[in-house]
Amino acid sequence: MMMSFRKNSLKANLFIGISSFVVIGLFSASIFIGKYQLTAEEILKIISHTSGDPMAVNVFYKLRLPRSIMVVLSGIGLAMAGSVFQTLFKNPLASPDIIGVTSGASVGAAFCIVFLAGNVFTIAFGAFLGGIIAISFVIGLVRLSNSNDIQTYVLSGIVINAISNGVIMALKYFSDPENELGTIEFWTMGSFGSITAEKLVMILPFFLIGIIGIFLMRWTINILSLSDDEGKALGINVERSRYLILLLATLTVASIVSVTGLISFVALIPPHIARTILRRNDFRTTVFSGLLGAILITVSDCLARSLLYSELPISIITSFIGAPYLAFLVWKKGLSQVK
Amino acid sequence: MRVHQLSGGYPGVFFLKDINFTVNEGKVYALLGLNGSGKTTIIKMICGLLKVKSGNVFIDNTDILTLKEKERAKLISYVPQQCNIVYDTSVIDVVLMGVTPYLKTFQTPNKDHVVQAYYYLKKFGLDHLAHTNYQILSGGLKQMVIIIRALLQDGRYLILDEPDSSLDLINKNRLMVKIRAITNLYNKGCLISMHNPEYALNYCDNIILLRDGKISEIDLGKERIAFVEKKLSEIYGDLKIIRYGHKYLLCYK
Repeated sequence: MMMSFRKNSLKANLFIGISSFVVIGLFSASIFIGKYQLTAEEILKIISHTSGDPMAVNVFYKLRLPRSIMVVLSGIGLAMAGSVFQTLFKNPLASPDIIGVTSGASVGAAFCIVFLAGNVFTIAFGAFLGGIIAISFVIGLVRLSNSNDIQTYVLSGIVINAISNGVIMALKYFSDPENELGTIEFWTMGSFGSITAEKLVMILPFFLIGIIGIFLMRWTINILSLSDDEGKALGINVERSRYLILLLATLTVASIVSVTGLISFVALIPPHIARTILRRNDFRTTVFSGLLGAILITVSDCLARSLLYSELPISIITSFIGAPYLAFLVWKKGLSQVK
Repeated sequence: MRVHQLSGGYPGVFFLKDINFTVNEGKVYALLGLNGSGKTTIIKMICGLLKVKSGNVFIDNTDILTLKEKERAKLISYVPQQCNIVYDTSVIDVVLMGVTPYLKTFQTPNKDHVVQAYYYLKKFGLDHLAHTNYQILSGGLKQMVIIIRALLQDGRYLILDEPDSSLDLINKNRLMVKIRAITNLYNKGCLISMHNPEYALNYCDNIILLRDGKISEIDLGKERIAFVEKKLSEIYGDLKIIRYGHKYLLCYK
């Protein structure tokens, strides 16, 4: 019997193993892609401290390596957070957008662009704060309504999204069309172009707190996939656990989008694919989602860097991959209903 | 388990006042009443799923409504009408959820818990389904898996909210036989809300009748058939209990 249990986990572990190798491969390949040519030989020299080209060393350590690490971390973080959101909301189409995290981050970023001169660090901080304020507002609204069910969260998210859209429109209206408007628009399309080692180090603690917290709460997340009554009857403080886990997932998302801008579909599609392949919904599925997210975003970033002479915003690529997949899901669902 | 002066419900919509009854270990209690009489409300209040206005539920002189969820879950196992699992989840994973009250905050089930889960699945002849997707099981099997989860939870009292509501006639009877066997085997105190008084007569030791917010208890081992008939007639209209071998049949006029 125990053998059979292990065998069942083996499939998930196998897929996690394979996708980890793919992520490592793509990560390594992504280091070579960019305007400044770096050969394998040059990189080996840089790593072994024998390179005589200070420009190459700078490009590698300050831009290329932090960017590739950030791309992988973003994929892992967004998709894992997406998987958690989908489990908590019991809805395979749930993502950080649904409770207003991303629109809150947009407001924070736009505010900093318009009123605080908009250097990269203030934008990052503003976006992070915006995301956290949005989730705090949602939690506050849920508490105020005395109803802790999922619909209240979704409705609160709709309220946040509506307010955020209004604020963003106002900020855009008052922004300088020559400069700030473009920056706001560019931020909402997402890009890894401005990632530096400093930014990576800045967000890393928040990212790690979020991911480690999600890991530690993995069994509670599993139980929260049941109805609230069942969760309570199994000994879980449903309301408090849900607040905490939402906060951890938001921290992860906010830490990423604060430096990358909005990235579409990465929190939505990989968890769905992971569940379809593994036919289960536990922490292994969340990890597999994270790795698929890393694959999706690394491929997208490589394309964004190499398709045109100038770099494309990442969300253009992820949207062109994600939207057809969603259309495929709708078509598949339609077919199953016809049958 | 002693339910004492329990009052609560949904203010402005539905409210139950001063409910009193006792559930003993090793016995099966049927909670009977018409639609909207408050069966589910009582069950939810006992399990701590619905805030009570006043009253207590005592187990060994401890008011379990004052306990934290985790401590209460070690005393009471709750089986809902149906388990709402949205995503693909294997039967063994559903059963393993039963050990949650015994896990520390960041802990996950260990090897011993898995062995225990298999033990209970085997006991009920469902071990071959351990890796089957719970979602594709029939209604009867789904309900059995949730009952096995409740056994792994190991509460002294098993509280089931209309567990037979989505089952066909044969599966309803099978389920009641299993619940009866579980109560005898593990000495659980079992409270089941149900619609059909016939199942109560055939599988339960006591009936708790709920009518117009008032409780009346019938000890089926002690009371005469005529008395039971009279009590049931107060809710279901004129009826006759007929003995058929070891079974009871109900005829409604």
